Amino acid sequence: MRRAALFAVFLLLLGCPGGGTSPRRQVVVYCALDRLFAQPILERFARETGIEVLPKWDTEATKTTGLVQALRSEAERVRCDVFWNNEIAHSVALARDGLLAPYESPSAEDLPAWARDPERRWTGFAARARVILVNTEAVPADALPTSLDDFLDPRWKGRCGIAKPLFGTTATHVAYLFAKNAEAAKRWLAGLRANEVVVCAGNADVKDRVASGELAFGLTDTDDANLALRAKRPVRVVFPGQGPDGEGTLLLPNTVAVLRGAPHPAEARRLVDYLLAPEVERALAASRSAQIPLRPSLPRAPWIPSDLRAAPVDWQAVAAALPAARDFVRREFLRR
Amino acid sequence: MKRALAGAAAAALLCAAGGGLWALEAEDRAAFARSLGVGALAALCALALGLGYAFVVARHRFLGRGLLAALAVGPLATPPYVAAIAWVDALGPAGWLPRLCGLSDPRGPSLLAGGLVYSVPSCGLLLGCCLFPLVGLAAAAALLRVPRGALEAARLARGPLGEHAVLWAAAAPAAGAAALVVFSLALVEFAVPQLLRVGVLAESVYLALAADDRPGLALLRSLPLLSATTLALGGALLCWRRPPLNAGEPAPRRPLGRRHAAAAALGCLLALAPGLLNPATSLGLRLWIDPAGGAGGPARAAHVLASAWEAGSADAARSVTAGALTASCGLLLGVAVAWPLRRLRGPQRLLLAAASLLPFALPAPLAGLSTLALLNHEWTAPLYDGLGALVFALGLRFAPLAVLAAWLALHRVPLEQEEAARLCGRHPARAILPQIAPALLAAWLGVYLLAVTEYGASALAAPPGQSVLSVFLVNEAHYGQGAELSGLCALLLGVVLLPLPAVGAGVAWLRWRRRA
Repeated sequence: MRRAALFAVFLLLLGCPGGGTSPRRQVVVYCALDRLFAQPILERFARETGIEVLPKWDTEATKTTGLVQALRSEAERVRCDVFWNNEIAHSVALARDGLLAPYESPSAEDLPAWARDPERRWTGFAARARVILVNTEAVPADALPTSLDDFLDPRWKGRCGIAKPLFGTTATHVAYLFAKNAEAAKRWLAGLRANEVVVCAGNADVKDRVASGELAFGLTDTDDANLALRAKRPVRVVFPGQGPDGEGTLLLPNTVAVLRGAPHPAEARRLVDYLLAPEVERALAASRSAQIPLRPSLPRAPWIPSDLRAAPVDWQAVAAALPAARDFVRREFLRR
Repeated sequence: MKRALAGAAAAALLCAAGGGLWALEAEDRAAFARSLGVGALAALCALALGLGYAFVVARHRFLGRGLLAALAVGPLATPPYVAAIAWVDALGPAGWLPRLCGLSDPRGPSLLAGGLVYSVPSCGLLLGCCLFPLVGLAAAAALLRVPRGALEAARLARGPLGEHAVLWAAAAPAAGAAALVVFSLALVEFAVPQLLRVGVLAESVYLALAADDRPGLALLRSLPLLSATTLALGGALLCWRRPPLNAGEPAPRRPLGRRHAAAAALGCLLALAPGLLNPATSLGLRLWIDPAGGAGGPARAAHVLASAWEAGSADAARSVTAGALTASCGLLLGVAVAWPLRRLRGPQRLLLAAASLLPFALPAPLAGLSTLALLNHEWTAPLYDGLGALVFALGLRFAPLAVLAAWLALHRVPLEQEEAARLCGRHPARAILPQIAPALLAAWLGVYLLAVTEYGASALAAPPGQSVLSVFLVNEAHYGQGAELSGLCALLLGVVLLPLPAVGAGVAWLRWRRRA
């Protein structure tokens, strides 16, 4: 009996990593941005404020979606304070479902209005663009793809790729297409199937396959493209929709939000203020992820056009289109 | 009665697998077929390599035999996804082998680059090469117990063929059982297929949970996996239950001539290549040489390791803590469960054994989900929010291994010794535990190794601020083979090897006590 009691105490101690009883200043962050880029920023915050940061990172297999599902499953007993999403559609969906608390951060005043929720439940900063990464040894300079329709060109049958459109930014991209014109989006996805477009595990996988020449070109994000460029692989980045008739390139900002019922609300707001400051945008732009600052005054990576035109997006519509897009992708696009 | 029960259980499992498969979509059925392909290939590869290795090191005497026998533990200590990263580094589209052979064609995927490395056979072969020492060690242990008299009698009766028949009869049950364990492990493996772009059912289970939030679908997808792994583990138990040939003085090893010894050593090194030598070489080169042409050598290696330490030391410490706690708790549980098991007879023992081993057949994501579902309550919050959740998930997966090891070890100790200890006024544990201590130590090490390198359940169960090195490493692998990844791989190998000196000291102490 005594041994059993001792064992129970031991198990309880397992649950208390610090072992102390005094209330500590800490903030729990669910972070979908890659750990490599987010960790230094969170560590700097912890050093400067003395607030302990407890991050939970996403996994490469499920990206943002995994953390979003965790937030939903913990809605009854919230343990997360801040959700740092590396895209926007899922934040909008969480806000719509009442899981996010409104907070107007003073750091967000100079951010563009399109990147802020009208009810201030989430705020966007540092974006990535959806780009076409082209292998310059596989694609002649006069045949560069310039739009998503080039993925349907029979010339590139089986030689171009996209990430699985159920997760991450590719899911958001497809939802954006659905929000714009659902029928056109379905036709495009059916066209991809017909053209035997390779469905890769993720955007990094697309980058790897294009960089190695396994694929001629693929749809990915600027952060992955930057890694290929830095590694001096034979690749070129095309920003779709930049021609005279183009509607612009899809920009997906990071978003940050405080959870409703967060256990450490004061610390959560402090972290949100920190993340939305220009210094963080500057650091993310200078990092290997080459994020695009939303403040026009801040510098961006040299290979990203300074006059890059962003596509206008109704994020509420994109979030609303997410389930239908996922459903179609699962039922029709990924069907064998 | 026993046979009827086993038959009924097998039929129920087959029905569950069939029902699960029938209810699944075509894509999931294809994923299950790929899982089976990976598992079967891994088991066959492990069987071939393991038996060959065992015959060389257990039956022959030559220079370097001891070193080769010790190196066999290497692939088990190397996390399979570290081996997979090195595998892609060697055979991938931009790998050194296609470049060396002139098969790396930037205008299209070559057979070697695109078709070989990212495929079911590649995944199965790699897992087989990583896990073959399980078969090798089991078969070698059986071969070492073959009595001299049995071999001599067989040789007199039927010549060399008769000798081989006896050796085969001794090694086959152990090797078959270990191959079935390899099949189970490969079937639910999650990280290696992900890195080698093979869509297996374990990954579909994970996606149903983590991305779709459909636990029902995850459970449905798990049914075929659960059934197949349970059947395989049941088969392994039945194989192990066959009595080994261990009466009399063991037969001595045969000396090998120089040529044969060289060929045997070369064969062993080739078997070790994918699981140990290639990862070690790849890691060493990446630590030593700067691909960008910068300064290499020890300064670079030190810099990369220092960076990895800075980035991952906290995760490494948590991995060690979680691994050690899982192994220790698992071992306590193992002895507690195995102790009554050895006294039970008939169907009760079969049922208890099956119940103890069932969690071992759980796909990793399901273990993670079960942990979250069981612990996400107000009254279990300290466990859910701390390292306890991770230890619980890892224990759910690997504690059955400790139960199995403790049971097999206790099985060999005659029950009479317990009675004798009681008659002498001592607790039976004091007489029996020292005898099974080496097996328990080995089980502790095995559970520790599996726990610190586990990915599928850890990715779900690790709470905020408690991330572990294996998850960090697999997630960073998508950046490609850079210095950071090599540093993290080296750090993980350090974590894996950390308890070896302590375990070695423990074994030496036990031997000293036994002699004393």
